[in-house]
Amino acid sequence: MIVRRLTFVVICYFALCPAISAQGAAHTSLRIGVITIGRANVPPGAASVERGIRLGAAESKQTAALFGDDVELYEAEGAGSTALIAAEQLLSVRRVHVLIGVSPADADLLSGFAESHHVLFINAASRSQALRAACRRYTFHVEATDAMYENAAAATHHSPVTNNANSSGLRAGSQPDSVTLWGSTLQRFGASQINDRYRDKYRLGMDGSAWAGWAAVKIASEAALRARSTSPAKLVTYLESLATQFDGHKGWPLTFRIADHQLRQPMYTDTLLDAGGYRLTDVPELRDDSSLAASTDSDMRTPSKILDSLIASPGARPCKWSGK
Amino acid sequence: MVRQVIRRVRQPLSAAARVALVLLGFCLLAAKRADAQRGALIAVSNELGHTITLIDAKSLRVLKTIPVPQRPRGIEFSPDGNHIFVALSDPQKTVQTSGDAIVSIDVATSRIDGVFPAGSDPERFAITPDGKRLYAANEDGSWTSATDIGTRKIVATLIVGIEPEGVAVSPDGRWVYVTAETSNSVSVIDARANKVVANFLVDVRPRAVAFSPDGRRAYVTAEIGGTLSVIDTRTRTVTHSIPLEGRQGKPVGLAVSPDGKLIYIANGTANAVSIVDAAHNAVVGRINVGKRPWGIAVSPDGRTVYTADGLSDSISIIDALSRRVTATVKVGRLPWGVAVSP
Repeated sequence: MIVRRLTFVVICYFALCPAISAQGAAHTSLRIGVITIGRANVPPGAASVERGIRLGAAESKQTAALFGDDVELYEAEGAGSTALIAAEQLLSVRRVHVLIGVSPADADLLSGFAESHHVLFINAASRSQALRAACRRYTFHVEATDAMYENAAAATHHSPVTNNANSSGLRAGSQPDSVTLWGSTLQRFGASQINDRYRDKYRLGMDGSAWAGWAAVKIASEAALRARSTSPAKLVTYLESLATQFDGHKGWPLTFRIADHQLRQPMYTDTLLDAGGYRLTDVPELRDDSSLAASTDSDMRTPSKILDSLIASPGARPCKWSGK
Repeated sequence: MVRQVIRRVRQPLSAAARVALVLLGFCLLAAKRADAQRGALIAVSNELGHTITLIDAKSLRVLKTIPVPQRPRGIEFSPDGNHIFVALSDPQKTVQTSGDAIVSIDVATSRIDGVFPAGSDPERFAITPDGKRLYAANEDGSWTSATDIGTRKIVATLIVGIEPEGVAVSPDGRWVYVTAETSNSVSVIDARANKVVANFLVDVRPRAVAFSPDGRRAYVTAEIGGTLSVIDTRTRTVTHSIPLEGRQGKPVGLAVSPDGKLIYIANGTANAVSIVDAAHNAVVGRINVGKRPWGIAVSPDGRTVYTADGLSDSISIIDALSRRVTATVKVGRLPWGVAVSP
């Protein structure tokens, strides 16, 4: 009888042990490595991405702490071939789960490195279509492609808004002066809050590159929090899931297109007003439309389908993993 | 036997019995009057107009337009109905100034008679059922302020998620739930200890939160997720995520019917109210209202629902039975919140 009881206790102990330790190990610590390009002659875009990453990391750490988790940011300098050395260091010494580069020039190298080492690479700087065409499973693109910038400009040019100078105050028939991922004067959907937080930290307005850096960290850390894992493979699965969506204070649910891991997102055109100053116009325009409620997933009016029209790039082929 | 009874009834009442009858009649009248006054007033905060509109719920006549010194958003009646509490924010975000406060307006005089510190940029807030404390979400910070209404002092500042927004106190006054838009979280505050005791994730960009009357459930709207999260308050887990308006309606405000059977959700960009059946966790109705409804409230008898239609500068009055808008009332510029007297 005693032996039976002892056996039962031992079985229970070993049966429960993994559960107990799993509970103890449930808290995650996501390690993000950033490859910076030094202090001298840093291009403005790269400096902005870096600032955005730091704000994103501080905020993600705060959110993770609510759940007993952590987000750690490690930085290493490197450009060109030394970018790979920096990435290698971050991986071997810091054992990072995620890599982010601030320079568009090094994005392809880092993406290839991440693929071969099975760590996540979030592209926050490069607009290259070739980088998307490389079809690397561990790479996700927050920065838009050149084609997306062109599509947004073309959409604004042809929209009735810019062609009607009298009602909009924009120069008649004018091309937008620039297209961006973000503007420091945006207000809706919490845009003013993130703009205020950025301005408080840096005494600068948040631009598109800074938003991309901030969003890259937010997306990676939110994926880890929701997936309850820091495993890069599990993060890839989570990011590819059709149910996964993020908020980037743009008013649209942000999702990754499976075909090439490109973030679906609205963009903004910046156009000079007749009376001076600029006006930011969101592309596509987010309308108050009660008819949208009737749309279904197969409908062309779902946010993903609408945003896909912005991503469209001639000659771009879906990656093999998408099954298309 | 019958004769005896009749004789007894015809006998003159004693003095004590007369007094008792008079008192009883008095009580019945008072109760009737109190009942008639339940839900008698509607209060609307006009964010751009910097005013509070006070409306007679029966005649739908605007009784008063009360100017306030700053941008008003969150609005609630005190549990006794004698005061309207309003969250005010100044234009200087991230900096706490004297313009950031929750004020109380005396319903009888329509004048501000109390200023309560509530941290910087207070937005939504909730008052405990005993009327002694209020909890405010400080949107540009990442905290919630607990203010003692009697002493008018902040008694606790509690760290919650980034960009806190919705606040609700459980019907028993024990728990306070606070949503955070950037963190996608709900923080659970133990109101006795004034301590955050748990956090859990909900759908993307949570806004408002409300408890069921029995306190067993809580409901949270997710503006970008386009859903209503149903929460089991015992386990603090999301049990259901109900898509609203094809997930594209940008749901913000919500209100639970007094019997707990229905949840009304204001969908900001769909210009419509969704009705969710609490028993089946399913959408059972839809009502078109004005433009960009955010604030929403239900009358104490559950017969009327009100929405603050921000871009229409009006409120919609919905008959809960027929599920139709029966009237609209013009209020101030950019109405944000709406509250009904208890």
